[in-house]
Amino acid sequence: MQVGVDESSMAMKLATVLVADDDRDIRDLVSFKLSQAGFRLQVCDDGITALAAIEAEPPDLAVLDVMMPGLSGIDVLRKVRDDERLHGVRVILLTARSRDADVDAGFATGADDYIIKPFSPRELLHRVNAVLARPRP
Amino acid sequence: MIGQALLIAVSLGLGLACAVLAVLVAAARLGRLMAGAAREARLAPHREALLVLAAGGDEDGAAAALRTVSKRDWPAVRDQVVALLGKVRGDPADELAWLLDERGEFRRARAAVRSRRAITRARAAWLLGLARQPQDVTLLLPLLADRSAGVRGAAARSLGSIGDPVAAAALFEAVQPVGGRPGIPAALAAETLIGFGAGAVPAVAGALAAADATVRAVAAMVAAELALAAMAPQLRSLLSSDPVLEVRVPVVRALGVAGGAEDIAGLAAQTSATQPPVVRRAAVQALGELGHPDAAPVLAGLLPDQDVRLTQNAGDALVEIGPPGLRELLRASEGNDQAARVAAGSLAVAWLRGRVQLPDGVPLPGALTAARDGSPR
Repeated sequence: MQVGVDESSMAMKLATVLVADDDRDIRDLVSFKLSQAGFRLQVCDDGITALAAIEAEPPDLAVLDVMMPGLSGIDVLRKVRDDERLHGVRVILLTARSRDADVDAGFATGADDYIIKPFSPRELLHRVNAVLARPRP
Repeated sequence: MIGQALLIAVSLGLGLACAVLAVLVAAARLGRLMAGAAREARLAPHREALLVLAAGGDEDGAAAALRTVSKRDWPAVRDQVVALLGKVRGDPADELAWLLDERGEFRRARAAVRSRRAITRARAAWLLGLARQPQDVTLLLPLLADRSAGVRGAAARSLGSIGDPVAAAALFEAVQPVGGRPGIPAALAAETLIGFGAGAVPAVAGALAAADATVRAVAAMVAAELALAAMAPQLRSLLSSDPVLEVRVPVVRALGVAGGAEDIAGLAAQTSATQPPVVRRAAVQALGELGHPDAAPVLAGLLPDQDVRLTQNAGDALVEIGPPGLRELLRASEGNDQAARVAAGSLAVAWLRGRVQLPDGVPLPGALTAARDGSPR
């Protein structure tokens, strides 16, 4: 398990994004792209750590892989949506599960967006900005 | 005395063999750790450039820097490029592929598809899929009949990555056993063919008429996933005549999404108690998928069935149909038998999901009141 916080990315106050994925390449790639854009990052490599990090310090947005050890991204999302204290946390699911039923399940559980791997890092950044630009529920 | 000595000798021998095995396992693990550490060390100076390239927007000359990677470091960098190439798309994927092409990796892969080593052929097939060059389809097609299952699977996945539907007919053929070897897994073939989209339609039409049952089943799976209404006449013919269970189930599912009102009678016949449970349940779900009001009485008639899963599927299917199905459920929920319990349960779940909206002034049925109040009925 690993939790890292990159606080040096920008002096200006920007949104905090939690990135949870058990694939190191994806973690590094998403973190790199978002830190380049100036976001403050929390990085986790499994669902249990991700949920603990979200509960300890709710981020503005969580980018969650669906298939992770411990808790899946859907499990983490469900727990976030069931917790009133976390109602302001926006969630994007980033997953290789591309069937319509999987996408439906993601949105039905309360995801704000759903991105299918392989993904475009540039598009991910646009979607992060778009989700964060929406008014909080 | 001799027996005791023999026992000691055997015990010592076994102990020694265990110790040797333990040393060998430890040495192998240590070797892997050291190789991994060496690979990481070679990759470390280039990792940031790789991330810049894979993240897109390379304004710092990362691609130029990676073109000068030494021969010694290249294998580690190449493996990382291949790993990243499978995870990104768009311009970054093109940049990564270009890097591999410049170092001659695709040229070597094209030669390696004829290697004597299965692992080399599989790796070559995988790499050609990442290259996404339509001209490589002709190199990959023969690998669908390779003697190694790993190579056959890699070739199928790579043909899917390239996405040229010219491979569709060959993929259908590849699910059949060849020379005593099993074909590629049906699910893998179906997933790849679905990725071809409308381009796969001509091959699907041919495959639905194939002599091999697995081919027909895969064709029905593809027709279901792509909702191919043009295939409905062939699917109806299979529904009434195909003797193979593994074909009839996907055919039933396909008619649920690609069929119409004229399929209600045929699907209703598949819910008969004389049919296998798996076919009956699929037919119930298909009737719900059709969403036609005429299917509602058929489904309502299944609520008292002895197969509990079937009754639950029937309740869910009635919800899918909408108001005519909901009316059947409300009517059934007024009784005091199994059908009433199933109907009440389906209504309660649908209401909790926001799928049921009663007109103003209509009181909530018991099950919905219980669901609203959080108490069991």
